[in-house]
Amino acid sequence: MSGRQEEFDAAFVARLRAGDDRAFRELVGALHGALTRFARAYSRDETVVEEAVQETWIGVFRGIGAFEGRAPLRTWIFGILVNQARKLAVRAQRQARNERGGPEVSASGAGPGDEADPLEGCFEPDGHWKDFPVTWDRQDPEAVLLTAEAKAVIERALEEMPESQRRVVLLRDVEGLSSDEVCNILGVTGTHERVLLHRGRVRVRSALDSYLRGAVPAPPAPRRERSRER
Amino acid sequence: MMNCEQVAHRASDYLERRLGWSGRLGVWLHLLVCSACKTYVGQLRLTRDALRAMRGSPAPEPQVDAVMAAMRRARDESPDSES
Repeated sequence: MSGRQEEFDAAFVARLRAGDDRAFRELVGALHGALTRFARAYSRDETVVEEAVQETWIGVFRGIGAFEGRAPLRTWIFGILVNQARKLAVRAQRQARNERGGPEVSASGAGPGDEADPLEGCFEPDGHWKDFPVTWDRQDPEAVLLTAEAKAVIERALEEMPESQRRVVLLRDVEGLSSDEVCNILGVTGTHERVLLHRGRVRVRSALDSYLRGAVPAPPAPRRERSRER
Repeated sequence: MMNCEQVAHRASDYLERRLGWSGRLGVWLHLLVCSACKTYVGQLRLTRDALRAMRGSPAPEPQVDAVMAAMRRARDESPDSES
């Protein structure tokens, strides 16, 4: 299944390979926020997140000469970030374990609750809904979902969902990578990717449902943790 | 015929057209007669579209400047850089 059209064409890649500063600025401007958001699916420590993204950009800069264009540029860059983020998250966890004691947690595999099915408990034994989904009776839900408030609800839902689901939802739905690309980058099977994507979407729908039906207000901006100054 | 639980679990695959013909037909037939699941699948579609609209806005200039400075430092430190 193909993602959306890649915005960085061959001519743009050629400018990057030639060391064109303006092209690099354009690339950083376009992707820095997305990379930062995605790196947060590996660590809650903003220092680690910033370092992973910074190292990714240095990796892009050093590796662009060897980039063969077999995958879209965006996909290649996210692949570099995944490697950096895993490496740094493992290092940070090891440091924290050494400083405070306690078990080490894998930065690449599933964490606690990652496999939890958000639809569990929603159905009667005969397969009917326990609580019927209620229509979002706003005049134009499509427009409402594009408001800053609704986006804050989505951001919060993304932050609260298990990391393995968040990674897939961010790459597939937000960044528009194809299923095959996501499987390659994250090292998951197609079946697992489908399950994680669906469960992540179900969680976001549930958060939007609560918001649009007035059950919960839009959340404030999240607070970011930082382990140390860079 | 599929029940609501089966349809809810297949909703994303249905939206992405990743079901085989019998699975797709099963969901489609269920949606013809079940308004609750029709609402649910519609909301999941809106959710997917809202997620697609979440792509970030361009990074602020100071942030871009900081990244560019780090990249230039890396270039200066790299003996095998072509630039």
